[in-house]
Amino acid sequence: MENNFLLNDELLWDYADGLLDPVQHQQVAAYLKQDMAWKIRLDAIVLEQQRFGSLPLEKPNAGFADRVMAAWTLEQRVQKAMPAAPDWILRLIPVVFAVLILMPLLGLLSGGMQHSIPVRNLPFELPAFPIDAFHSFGASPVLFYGVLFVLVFLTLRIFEQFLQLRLQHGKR
Amino acid sequence: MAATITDESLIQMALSGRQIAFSMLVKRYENYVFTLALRFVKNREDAHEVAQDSFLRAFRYLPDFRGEAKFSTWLYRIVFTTALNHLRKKNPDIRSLNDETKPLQIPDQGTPDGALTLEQNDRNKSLHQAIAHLSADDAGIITLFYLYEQSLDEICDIMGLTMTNAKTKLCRARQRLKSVLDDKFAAEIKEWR
Repeated sequence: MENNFLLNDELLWDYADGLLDPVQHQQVAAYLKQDMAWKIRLDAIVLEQQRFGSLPLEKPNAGFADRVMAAWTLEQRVQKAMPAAPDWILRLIPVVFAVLILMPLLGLLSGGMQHSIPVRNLPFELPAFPIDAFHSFGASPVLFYGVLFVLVFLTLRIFEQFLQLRLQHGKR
Repeated sequence: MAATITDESLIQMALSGRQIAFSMLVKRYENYVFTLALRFVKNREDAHEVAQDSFLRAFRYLPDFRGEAKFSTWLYRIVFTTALNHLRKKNPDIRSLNDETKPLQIPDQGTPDGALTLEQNDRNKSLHQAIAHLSADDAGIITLFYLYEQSLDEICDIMGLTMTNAKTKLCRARQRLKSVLDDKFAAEIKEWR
């Protein structure tokens, strides 16, 4: 018998449940070989485990499976009834979204280039961008922030629509 | 005798749109799902709701089931999260099933099985009642480990626990069940020990 090893009920339960590591498992097994009282206790524990394991399952009320199937069929019908988003809409929306984001950026970039780089030194001719229109646009804060707000709002709405359509499309 | 169709085959059939496969999965697992739901939510009415929601969620996400775990383990994980959501809806303060420790309604045992002896019936009834006195977490882990024979690894997967945590919880649940049996069902268990 191991000198420093003390067996207790919890350890024996863990042994019976197969929760011990190999070293502990061996220690308990060796202990049990030499102690009949603990061996009897182990048999009682195994019997209790069997009782837990043989408990009959609870049964739902009659017709439960039918109700689940009815709910599932209904859910599938509702999903099928939702209008499918045509593919071209799904492709168009990100394009519009990209254009809305890219146009002001391109405008700013092009405007900046016309100011900072002498146009005559370029090997190609830059298209004239209506910077003056931007100047007057920027001069009126109401106009500037108004248009900015509308642009942001439209962008977000379009993005939201895109996500919704993708979601519906993905469920199919 | 007809061979039993495996879960994997039923899942494949269900994914290809055969309604009968869904129906067979419900019939195969309804008692397991319902019992587990009852252990978590503690009353039959709520357990019906949780069990039905669990099946619907499982069917909805069936295309995502990759077969890395057993179907039953995956399904029990859905029951666990559905039960937790259900309890949170009723009591937003609940963070884990361990918080749901209020005393429970003793479940109705239904019609006794004629094949079982009276002694077995009494014993089972006492055990069911004792388990019903445990917290949702304890009752769930005891049910999964002893009744459904899920391994500790699978229980970790179902209940989102670490291995050490699962071992500790199982050990504590066992101790609490023993103390409930000793305190409340001493007379009954004296006969069958």
